Amino acid sequence: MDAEVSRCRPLLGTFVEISVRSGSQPHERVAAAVSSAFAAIAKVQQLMSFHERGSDLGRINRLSAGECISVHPWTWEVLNLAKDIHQASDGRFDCGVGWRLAEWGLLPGRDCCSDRDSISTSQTALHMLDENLVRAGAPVCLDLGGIAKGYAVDRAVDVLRTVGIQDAIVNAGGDIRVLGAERPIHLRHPADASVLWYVGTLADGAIATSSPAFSTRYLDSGQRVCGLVDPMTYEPITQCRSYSVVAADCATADALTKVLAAGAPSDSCVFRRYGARTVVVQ
Amino acid sequence: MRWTPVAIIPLAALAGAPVTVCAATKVFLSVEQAQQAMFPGQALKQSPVFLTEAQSDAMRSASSVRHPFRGDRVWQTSDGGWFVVDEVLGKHEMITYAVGINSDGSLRQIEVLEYRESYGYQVAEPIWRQQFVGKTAASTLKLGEDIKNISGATLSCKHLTDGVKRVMVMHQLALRGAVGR
Repeated sequence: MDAEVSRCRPLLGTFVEISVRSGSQPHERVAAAVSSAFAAIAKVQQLMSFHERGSDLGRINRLSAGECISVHPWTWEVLNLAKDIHQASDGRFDCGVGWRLAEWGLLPGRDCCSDRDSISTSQTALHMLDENLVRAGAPVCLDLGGIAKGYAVDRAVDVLRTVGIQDAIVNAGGDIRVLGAERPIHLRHPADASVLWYVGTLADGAIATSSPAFSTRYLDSGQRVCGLVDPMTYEPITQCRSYSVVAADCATADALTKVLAAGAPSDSCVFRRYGARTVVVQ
Repeated sequence: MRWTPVAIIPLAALAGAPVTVCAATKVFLSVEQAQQAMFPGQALKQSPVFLTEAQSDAMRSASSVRHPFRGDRVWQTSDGGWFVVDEVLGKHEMITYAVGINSDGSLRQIEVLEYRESYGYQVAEPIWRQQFVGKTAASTLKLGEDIKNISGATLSCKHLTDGVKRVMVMHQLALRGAVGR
């Protein structure tokens, strides 16, 4: 069996693992490719972090109504995919709910966003102009946590593929993409993180999972909240289930888990449109 | 994309079925491998550090990491950089990690060396295996192998971030300027 280079670093608020079967490639070359793949992930983090005022996202979240800025092509690509999935899912995916997560204390406070009173509750207030330009129809408070992690995984896989690696897996806290040969995939049980389910094998594709179970917390008022917001009601999705989506790329899989969690049936056309498959565990 | 799911099990069955697995230790790098990865070609000299109580207190209050720091896992590079190995308790797991620090005191790199899932119950192997004979969902699980590709339940790395903070404070208090010890 080929030698495997496996590395793990703390990025994107979770542990990111990259494993490469090196085949005939020399070890040094593979190790360098893995480092470059981590660098791509760090770049996505830097561009799309909610916490950094200077990130593309931080700049977008402080736009006044009518203001327009240029962003990195990667940020633009993520926002454009977000727009596409928002439309295809009839609004079940909406990264404009950052204000809600901030209210619940799951994201840092108000100085990350513009004036709270005039803020739009949906991502639709942000208009995609020509390549790399965006304009705020109204101030927004976007959180790309539901899509950028998957996108970062895709960028890492691109780096590996570009240097000729054919067999690899990138796992960012459960957002997984497999390059090449099939790998076994397990899911954590939403009620008990120590229970793992073998759900199948995946080759040349991605799987992502969202579950309210692991980010649930209680506010002082006693209200139960979590990192998943239903964009139709702005209420937390608190069912103890995990929602997984298999798709060709990880950004799409990541975003579609929110659509599934927000109640889209597994056979709805939004999943068919992206050639995606779903797995719900409760 | 080639997705081959196991025969889909009804949700109710999923909820009740006792298919559990204790994920094993994942080893990414040995200490020596991490040293070579962070400081290629450099000779590293082990330089144990002895901390005063005041230094330990300062590290604890800056990082909120409570368990004692082991000062014997500190190395110095020939050009004045440092390599430190430490451990933190994650949510359910112990994480051994290495921090590389440049000679100017800036953070060079973080690598996770070992990641131990410690969910507690190690089921005796033969019984465990028997339990799943003929069960589709478990049929391709291999005992003793790493279970690597787990999708779901983002494990927070906040504690690791705290640990790195503690190492950087330790460097500032006890290592900086300590050349040629």
